[in-house]
Amino acid sequence: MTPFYILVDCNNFYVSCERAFNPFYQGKPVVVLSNNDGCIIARSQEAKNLGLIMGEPYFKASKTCLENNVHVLSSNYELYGDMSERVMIILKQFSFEYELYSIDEAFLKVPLSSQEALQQIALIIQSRVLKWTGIPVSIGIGPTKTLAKVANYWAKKGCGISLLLTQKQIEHSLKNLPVEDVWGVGKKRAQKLKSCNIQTALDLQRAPSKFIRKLFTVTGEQLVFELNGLSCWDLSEKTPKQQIQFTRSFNRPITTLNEMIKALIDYTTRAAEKLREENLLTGCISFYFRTSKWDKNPIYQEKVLLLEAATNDTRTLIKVITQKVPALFQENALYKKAGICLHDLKPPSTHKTLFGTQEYTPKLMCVLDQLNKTFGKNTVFFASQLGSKPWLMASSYRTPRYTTCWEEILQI
Amino acid sequence: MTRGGKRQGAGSPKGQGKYGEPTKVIRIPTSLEHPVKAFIDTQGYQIPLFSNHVQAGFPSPADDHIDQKLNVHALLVKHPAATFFVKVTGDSMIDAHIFEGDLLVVDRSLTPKPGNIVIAALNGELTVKRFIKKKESFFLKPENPTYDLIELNGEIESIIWGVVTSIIRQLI
Repeated sequence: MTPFYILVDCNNFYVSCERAFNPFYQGKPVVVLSNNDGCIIARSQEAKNLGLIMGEPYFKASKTCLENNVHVLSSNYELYGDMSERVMIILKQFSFEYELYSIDEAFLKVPLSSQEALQQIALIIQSRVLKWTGIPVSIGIGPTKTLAKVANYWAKKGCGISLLLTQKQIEHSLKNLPVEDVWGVGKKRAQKLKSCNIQTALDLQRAPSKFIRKLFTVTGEQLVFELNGLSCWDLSEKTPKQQIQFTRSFNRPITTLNEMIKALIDYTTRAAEKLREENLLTGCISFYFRTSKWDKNPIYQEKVLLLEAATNDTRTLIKVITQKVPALFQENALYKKAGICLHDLKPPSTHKTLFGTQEYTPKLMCVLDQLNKTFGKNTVFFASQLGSKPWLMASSYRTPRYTTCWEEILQI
Repeated sequence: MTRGGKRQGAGSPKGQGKYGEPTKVIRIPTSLEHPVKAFIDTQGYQIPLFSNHVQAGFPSPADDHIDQKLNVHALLVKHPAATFFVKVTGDSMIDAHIFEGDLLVVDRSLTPKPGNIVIAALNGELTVKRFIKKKESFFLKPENPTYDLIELNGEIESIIWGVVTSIIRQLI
């Protein structure tokens, strides 16, 4: 029996999270803004209908928002992360084989192939996630991951569940799907395909696979197979992280070296926490800071620093950074943004120094993480982080962290 | 040098054998050889795992009996993915002994039964009330005589947000 892939995708996830705790937003236009309240990154259906665009800078959209009583919210990542975890826990109840694809999407693989059984499981998943968390989901089912994606595309437009089982169903759904909306076909590839007179997903399905392979290498060929119901891409294990980044725009420009160092230390601390959470070491750290891109003489400074030995010790990383910043920093500039990136990540086992092995997570770091985990963020921090942080993200319209912070839980 | 006899200090030091202590030769009836060997190998003599590192001090007689500590979270939260905490404001539930500042544990996976205390979405706001059935109609009942009963029209599923399973009140 061939297994089927089920793609579960949360509808307008960030907005749905907000609505779960605030039914007042139900049926009203709502948008969520990115870090620092920069761009629109989530829209309710009502907001989409008003013509608000994904990724649009908020200052451009603010007029439309004001005129139409759109509810504008800053992103509340702690809430979204917690709600995502809850949804995934529920999905895992339905299959041992799953792939958490993104914060709001997951593939399940089930050994079922009858229309009734699949329909039934989809209905149960949909109603359970809605009841338990308040998050509405769309479900697409197909014999391959790509076709499950296609099914999901139509599910979103229709009643929330779509099955592609028979050749006829598959053909019908591909015929009306523009080729650029096929999973893995970007704008660039779509242009190329269209110049070869491949306009729809169905055209792509029927294209000679060898020809597509020539155009887009083996992944392109696999995509054609996948559209034909031949599974090439199985559920993938979580791929290990390649790098860890922490990048933010400042709320107001930074002009002094002291503040810049403090900001970078702050970012480093956060990145190192992530690093230890993933149980990895870094062998290379880089940082950058820049003025606005629209400055007359924009300044962009970047430095990549190789470490003597791979580490996850915040102290080591801070020391390296603070030594190197002063030489690159220019007075009389208005810096808008800075970032830290940890590269060359590896698990501790492959880690050796010339002079023997060292314990890979320093005790102090373990204690630090444990304290901050138990008693809340920033219970213990480095003295160099002390003081006011005027560059902190603006999140003027953030809702409370209902599920992760006792001080902010829902009041009824 | 004398010939024959015992050579002092020869052989491996005592206590290096498989039992980890000096052994001695004894006579036993042939018929009991196997049972005695089996006894030594199984229950009668267990080689200590760390025979060289005996911990000083007296072992706690309770060591073997601690299976796990009591966990309040596990007691109160049966469905972690569906459980939320909310804080009470107002006095609409005082007759049910729910007071301002109390923490409620809310399980959204449960289907409300008449008599349950529930969180419901009314006019875009979440509120705590008792869910009751009178004749064939469903109501939300505030547990405070100064508030009015609210009749539920429309789909119960979409109005009831979750079922309150516990009240947490810290006294100090």
